[in-house]
Amino acid sequence: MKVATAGGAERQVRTMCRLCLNRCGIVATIRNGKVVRIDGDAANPYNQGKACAKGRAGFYTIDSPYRVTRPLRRTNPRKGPGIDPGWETISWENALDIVAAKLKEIGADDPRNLWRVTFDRSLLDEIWCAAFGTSLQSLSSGFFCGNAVHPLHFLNQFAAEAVPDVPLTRYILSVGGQFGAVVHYDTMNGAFELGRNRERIKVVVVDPLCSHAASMADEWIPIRPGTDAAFLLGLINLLVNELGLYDAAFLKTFTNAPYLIGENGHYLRDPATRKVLVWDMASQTARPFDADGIDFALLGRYRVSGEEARPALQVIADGARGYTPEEVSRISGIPAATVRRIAQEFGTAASIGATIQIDGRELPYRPASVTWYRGLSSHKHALMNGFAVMLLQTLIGGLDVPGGLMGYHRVKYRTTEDGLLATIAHPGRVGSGPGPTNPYPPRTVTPPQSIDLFELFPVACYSRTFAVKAILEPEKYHAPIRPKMLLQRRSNMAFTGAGREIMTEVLRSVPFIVSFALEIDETAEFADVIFPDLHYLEQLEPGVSGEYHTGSQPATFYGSRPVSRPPFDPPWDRLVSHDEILLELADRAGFLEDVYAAGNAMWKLPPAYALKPGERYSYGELMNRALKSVHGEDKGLEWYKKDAILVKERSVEERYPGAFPKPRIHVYHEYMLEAGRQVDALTRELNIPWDTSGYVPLAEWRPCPAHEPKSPEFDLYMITAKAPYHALTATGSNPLLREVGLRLGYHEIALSPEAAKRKGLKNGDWVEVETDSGKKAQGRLKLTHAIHPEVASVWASAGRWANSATQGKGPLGIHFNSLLTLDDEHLDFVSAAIDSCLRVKISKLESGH
Amino acid sequence: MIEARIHFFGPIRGLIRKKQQLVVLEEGATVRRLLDELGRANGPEFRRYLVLEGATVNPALVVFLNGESLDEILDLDAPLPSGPRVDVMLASPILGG
Repeated sequence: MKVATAGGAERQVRTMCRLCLNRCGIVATIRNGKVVRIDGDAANPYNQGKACAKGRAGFYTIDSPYRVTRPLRRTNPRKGPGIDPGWETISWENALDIVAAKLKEIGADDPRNLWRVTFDRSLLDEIWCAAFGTSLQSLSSGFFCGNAVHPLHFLNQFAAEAVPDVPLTRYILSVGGQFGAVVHYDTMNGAFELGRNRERIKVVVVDPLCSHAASMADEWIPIRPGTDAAFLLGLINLLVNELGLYDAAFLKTFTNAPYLIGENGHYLRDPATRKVLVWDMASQTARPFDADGIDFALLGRYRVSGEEARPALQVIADGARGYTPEEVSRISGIPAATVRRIAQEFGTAASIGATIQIDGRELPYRPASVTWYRGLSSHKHALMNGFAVMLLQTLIGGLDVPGGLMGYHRVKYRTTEDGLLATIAHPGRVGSGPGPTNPYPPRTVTPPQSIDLFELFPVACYSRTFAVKAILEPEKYHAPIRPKMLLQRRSNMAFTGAGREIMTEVLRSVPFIVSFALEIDETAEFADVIFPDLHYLEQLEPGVSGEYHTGSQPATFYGSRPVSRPPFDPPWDRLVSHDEILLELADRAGFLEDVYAAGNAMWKLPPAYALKPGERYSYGELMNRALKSVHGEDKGLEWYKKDAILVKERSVEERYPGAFPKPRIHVYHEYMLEAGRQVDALTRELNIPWDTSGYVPLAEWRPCPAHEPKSPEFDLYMITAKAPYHALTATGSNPLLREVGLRLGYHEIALSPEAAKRKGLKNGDWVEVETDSGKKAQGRLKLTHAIHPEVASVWASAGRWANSATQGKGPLGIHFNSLLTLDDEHLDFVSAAIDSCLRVKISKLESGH
Repeated sequence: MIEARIHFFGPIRGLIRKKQQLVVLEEGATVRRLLDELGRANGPEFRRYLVLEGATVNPALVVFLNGESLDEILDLDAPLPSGPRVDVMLASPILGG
């Protein structure tokens, strides 16, 4: 579309924002070849035609003076933060040859020694890695993403994530997450639906910090960090044992709540058929779960073949009984009366037994949701936190039904022999995102083969934090892989990984590093060769198989299209994707035909579009074939370049699959026992020190290391929180967003006035923070009542030190990850999460900053 | 006879040190028989990783037969697809892990 304006002809191009994982549809306005404005795409229901402040400001980095515009090679072999790499400009030919030769050398030895890291993967990234013989990792997500979130939503919702069905819900309990406020995947849709329906919904946010989400809630409940599971189990105790507010009909039909549990914690099985047994109230006998006409018992104690057996729900009820409101209050700091009130409110709002008419169908109506994220997932015992939150939502029958918690990024599922739901793997994908990683059935435990010891994590969705451990201590962990080369793009692992000191050691241990870099960030600073990367507004990348949908919205297909030309001359007419460089490297290193073979298999290309050995295909032709194979002959690359959006209404069955028959889901995690046994046996056999005490079938609250400080002087917890004006490190160098952050105190330490008074501190003081593991940082205080009095908080993504991010002005704020402790005490050996609530002391810097 | 051409993708290539393998099996051979044969031919380390238990293969491995996921076939004792040639893709985690 072209519009004549006083400033010259304007045109508008539809594309996709890539600054966070919400991937909003946007429209860029271009005048005289320059992007002058970004708006939400009104035709895109996924983000309701809206864009956030980050997305609207995204074009301010296109012309950054820090952009890399030529391939670079380091001349100084010494690597480290602040050490001048002595960059020299080299030709594209030279850069491609150097990197291809390294790939050839590593591929001929053991291709797993290529560590391929990105947080912004493309379709081609996956087949390129498959063809080379390595895996595609996003190391840093292990430090900030959904270690516990993804497995639980795959388990009970065959989806990577879940969000409240906002138009129909009446109650949202947000625990350790910022639904509708930050870079959670449903940000725009969630924010605008909440705004429209605000007066009909009660929003309660439970968080140590009155975050941006909490500031817009009806109620903020400050909680002591790392005690969320106790609070949730307190609600479960009241709902099941006192109030009787749970969906018994749903639990009997669609969950393993009636499965009989024996004294050893395992299912009771029929000795002959091995089928799981349930108690039939009608015949007063134990019968196979799938027998006809059973009147399922959910509670009670029964004798079966001389053994006492309880239905899983009774085991849950018994386990939760210890979490009285008073005990929850002691652990979490939340008043007992508040625990009681929230349980009553949530259980009542769930409207057990209610139905609603949608598209002429009568469906269950459960208008209450509990949402969660990093606040629960980044802890020791993270999976147990996940068990608790998923159990609460499952007890009310509020999964994927109107008003309830809606899964998205759905995958296919099957029914196991025990009648339970298990997701079906997409070829080669075992990570988060669209690739399902169901903890059930657990993967068989085998000796480590992966860089991150993934084989020792049978129920986790990834174990990336342990890549750091395995690289630094390979003998201890029987790690088979010693990375000889790192190829990274859009994953600022030096900053978002295990902290500056540890990541320096890790990156120094890798002999050859190649970065695709828009600017030289903290990680590219370690590179041996750098390729200039494209700005996301310069790239062509159809989503191909990716349909985006959230809540009950239609499914929408769209993707990235170039709206601006890169400020460099590649060896092609015009570079539109870093994938073109990967294809060229594959050709020069001799595995291009393997890439085609992997594409045929993993993209499921039908014969008409299959890639033939001996042929050569451009990046555009590959995308053309991938598009046509998914969307039809008339929807190839030309269509994509012209239109680039498909919106499909979803049927009521697609929108609300929880209302229709499907396999049973978990309230009791019996599979954990066998998974733990296998991990224990193998790690003993290999003499790998490993903690398997977290393999339990039910949620329980266990203290984090921070709850038992090494000395009383460490009298504060320290946490980190996401702010709505920054997304990881993708926005740090945006001058506009940097300015916004500085005005809002992005670089300061939040502390309550009570805590400050106790310690003789005042607003604006420069202080030293020291963790009980001896790690130190300095920062400036900002006193606020919007924080739990036992807690100090810093903002995620603060403390950048790369010149491009600080714009030459030096770091501002505390880099939280540099305060983390990556030891056995702080790592979760089940979910691979690292505990992110710290115990600190804060003292005034007498000399000032 | 059935000629099964197995393509190895992802990190499993580093373990097995090959890209492809041809296995000739009798007519009516099952998926289990094919995987057993692969295990026998490729040493104990690979065999331990392959793991055939009950009706399924180690969920860390992804097996596709002529483009169809083994998880959807769901039965290791099902016969291999009919026809003289079967294309098998055996991958270990490529994404994630």
